[in-house]
Amino acid sequence: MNHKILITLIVALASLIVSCHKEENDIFSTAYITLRTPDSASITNIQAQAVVVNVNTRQATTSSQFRDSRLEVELLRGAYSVTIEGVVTVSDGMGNERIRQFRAQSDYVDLSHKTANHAELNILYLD
Amino acid sequence: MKKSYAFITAFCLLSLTNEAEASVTDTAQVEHLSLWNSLRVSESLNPALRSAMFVSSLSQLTLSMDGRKQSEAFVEEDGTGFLHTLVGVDTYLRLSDKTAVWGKASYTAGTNHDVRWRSTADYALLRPYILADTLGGDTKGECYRFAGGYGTRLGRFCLGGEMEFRAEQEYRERDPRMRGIVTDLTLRTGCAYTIGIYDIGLAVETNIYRQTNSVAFYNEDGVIPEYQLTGLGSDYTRFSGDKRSLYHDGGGTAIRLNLVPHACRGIYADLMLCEHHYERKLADFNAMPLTMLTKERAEMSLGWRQKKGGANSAVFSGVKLARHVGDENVGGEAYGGSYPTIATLSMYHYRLTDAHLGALYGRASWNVIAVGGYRTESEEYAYPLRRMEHTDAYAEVDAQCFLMQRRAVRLMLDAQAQHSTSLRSTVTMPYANMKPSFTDMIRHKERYLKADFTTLAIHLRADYDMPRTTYGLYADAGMSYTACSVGSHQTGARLAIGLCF
Amino acid sequence: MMMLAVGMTMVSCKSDDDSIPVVPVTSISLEVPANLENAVLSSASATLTNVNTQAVHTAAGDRFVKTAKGYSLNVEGLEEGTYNVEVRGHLDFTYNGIRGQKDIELRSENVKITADAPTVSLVASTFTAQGGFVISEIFFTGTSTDEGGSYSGDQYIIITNNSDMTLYADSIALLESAFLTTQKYDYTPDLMSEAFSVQACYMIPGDGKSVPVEAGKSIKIAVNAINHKESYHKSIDQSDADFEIYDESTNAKFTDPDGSAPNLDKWYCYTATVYQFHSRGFNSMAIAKMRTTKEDWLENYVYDAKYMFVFGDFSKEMTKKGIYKVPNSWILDGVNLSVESVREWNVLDASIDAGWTYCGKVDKDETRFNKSVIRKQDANGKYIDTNNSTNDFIPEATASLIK
Repeated sequence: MNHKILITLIVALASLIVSCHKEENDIFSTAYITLRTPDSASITNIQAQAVVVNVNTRQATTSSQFRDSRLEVELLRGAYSVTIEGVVTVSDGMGNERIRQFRAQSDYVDLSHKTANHAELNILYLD
Repeated sequence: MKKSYAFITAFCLLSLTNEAEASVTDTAQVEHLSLWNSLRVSESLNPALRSAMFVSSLSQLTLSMDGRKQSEAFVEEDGTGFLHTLVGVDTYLRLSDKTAVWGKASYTAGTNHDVRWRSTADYALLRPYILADTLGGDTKGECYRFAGGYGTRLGRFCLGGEMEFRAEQEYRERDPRMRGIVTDLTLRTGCAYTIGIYDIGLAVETNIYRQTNSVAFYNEDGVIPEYQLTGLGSDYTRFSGDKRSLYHDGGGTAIRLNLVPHACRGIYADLMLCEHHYERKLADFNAMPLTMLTKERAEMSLGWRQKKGGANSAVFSGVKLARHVGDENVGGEAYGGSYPTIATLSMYHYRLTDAHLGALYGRASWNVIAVGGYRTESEEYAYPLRRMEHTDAYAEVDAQCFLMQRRAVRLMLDAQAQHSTSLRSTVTMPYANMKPSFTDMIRHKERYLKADFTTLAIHLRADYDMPRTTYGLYADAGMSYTACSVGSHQTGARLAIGLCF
Repeated sequence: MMMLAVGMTMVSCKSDDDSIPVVPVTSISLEVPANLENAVLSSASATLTNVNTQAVHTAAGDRFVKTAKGYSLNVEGLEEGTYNVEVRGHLDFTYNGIRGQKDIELRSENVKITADAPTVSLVASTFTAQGGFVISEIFFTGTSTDEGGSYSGDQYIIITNNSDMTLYADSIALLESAFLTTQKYDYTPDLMSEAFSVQACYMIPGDGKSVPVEAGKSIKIAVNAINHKESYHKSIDQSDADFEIYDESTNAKFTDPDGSAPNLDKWYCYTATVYQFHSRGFNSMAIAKMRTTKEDWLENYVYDAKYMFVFGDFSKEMTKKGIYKVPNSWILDGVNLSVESVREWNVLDASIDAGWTYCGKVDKDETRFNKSVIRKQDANGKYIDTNNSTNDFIPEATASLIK
């Protein structure tokens, strides 16, 4: 019985020592950045380059993979500054389309969650 | 695959062995300084077992000077050499056949030459999470160490406790003026139980560690960036530059199991498991935690040893496994000078596997130990991917000889030869996106990762018993030479004098 | 022995085969904005640098092939890996019936190129701010002295007419931000999308036609328009500056030398003594055409901003009083300045400057002296202005007036 207690104590102590630390190896996640127009116009097409810079590491990721008004990009989880520049085709809802130069920028966007990270940026027309 | 070569030295002066063999075991020096004790390192860390390690008492007061010089730094963070002076006392007192006490106190001061890429003390403990710059320079250091322990036997049980304390300061007296102030406290408690011819030991150790680290520039208009390194040439860019005050807080726990033959003959085995963690925090921004280094280690050894008929013999094997994980805290939006942590990512991984086989043979007045091993080490930084891996084979022979043990002047001669050869190494780095200074640093590491090392060392100690007293004087001198296949070399020397009682 | 065997099995035995797969064809597509017509790419080149091996692959312009959306280039035989991709070229186009041209320089870092993902997409941007006055150089770091110190009395700013016709610089004001780019607070009200909050406003005086500036020419505004070389031989002779910032100091111990150049009309400055640019570049700068009188501006273009000061568990609402503002619509050009190690935010709206520039990588960088930020020029000598100073400026350039 004493031997059993001793062995149990040893195993418990050993388990305590080796199991304290939990690694976080899910370091990447997908970010969805949606652009919003300042007026009531709806976005038909975006042709733009997004530069997403990690605020902590200063690593830059570039992407132009827009689908509708949304950019989908795989990133290291963290905080980012986002600059998007290009042209957007907007429709006024009466079938009138217009291509406009735009910029969207934010100094800080939290893209740190394990599952999908969503952010919205307002479009600034440059023309 | 490179072949490994073992160098065997033949130093023992066999003509003297007949005289030396007569009553060698009488001297405390022989018992305490014998190469045989290298088989007992793990059990010496269990205070209960340590209290039964030696039959004799020995105390030594020492004044020593150690120096080392490398033609090119093998490890830039350690510098190209050092000169350290130590004054200290080390004692093991057998109070009775059941009880022993031991203690140590020392003060070391010295200079480390041309330290680069390190502005934090205790590099081996805290790497890679240190503060560093590209300039470096000589550093000075002071270290106080105190240790004490007690162990006693109660029937079949042995109980013991031990404390070790280190206070250390490393600093530089010109820009960049680094300063690292360390306090390191370890408490150990152990017990052992005798079953048959074996003692089964269990020891638990706990450690508390703190370092206050800063870099100052007296020329306020002229500073250089201090980098918060995060492993393999990466840095935490957002907080690198001028965040120059840090704390490292940490500690950990270890558990040891020992199987020791009570009567110097039988199987012996050790198992050690430990986990330590060290958190690096910025002194600014409300002590923002930047990184956490978690170190897990397991060491196992198994062997058989005997002392019989004046002959010593042992065979042994061992495995060391280590795993380090570095977590980075992702800083969120700056708000009023403070940064919340929005995520923690395990970005740095380190693994070590070291397996060795060895054997010892000797008589009362001499011992020879030979060890051969295989070590593989890998470090990885997750993104952008950086990786360094290498595998080495190594061999070591150590020969020790006690001479003229019946005379007033007694000698101990020790000679060592070591060789390690790199079997394989790979390095993956995003060189195109690295700063040139960081690239140079990594290239230096890469050269030494792929290098072979050969070391020869010799050490001579002379003891003189002062007549009509229980005191003795001793003098100690040693030299070593290491050749590295990249073309650099290292020379080391040690001189010591002391009083034994 | 068993333990040793266990240990050995933990050793990873890797194959000695280190060969890297080759991607048969890597396609680089360059999209031209859909609002451009008759776009023609010339003098183009693409450079792919393997981040790990540093191997460089260059493809010349004649291999670019026109596609429906722009241009495409195929590169054969690249090893799989991570690459930095750079495409340069010259684009001629028609926009709203007007012919235009732009040198393009696109860069994408850490792009994974594999046999499964062998494409790289880049989108060209041809946005250029409307021609007019631009800030072409700001020298704020000061010069170094023989004693190893620094001297910042010789700061200056150069404003250039970037258009094709003579313009008049009357009523152009030099503005300095009220907020530091190194200290971010959530101010209420947050006016950045409408106006630039300033703590210094010095205006070029005139009746509207007093200060003509020909196309491509510049005017230099010195903080002190004197010959600084008389006191510090490594400094600059500013006695030929076009204008000077002059303050009537309220403290006899800190007076402003009144040099030979005409003084700017001081509308407002936070300091009661002598104004200088922030010598480490923590304030953003702008130029604006003031569209009202000094009296009206001082009375009606001022506000108070609140923010929360937080330190650990302590927090308190603070008020920054008397902040002057200049509507973004008046701003001709603006430049965010900061230092990477301490930068927290931009204090100019993204429509004026989406980026930032710097002299010095770290606060009090010993290498920052004698340097300025200088706007890049294209092949025709025109200053590049995309309202993004990260792209538009050369940081840490040797100050142009230092000889």
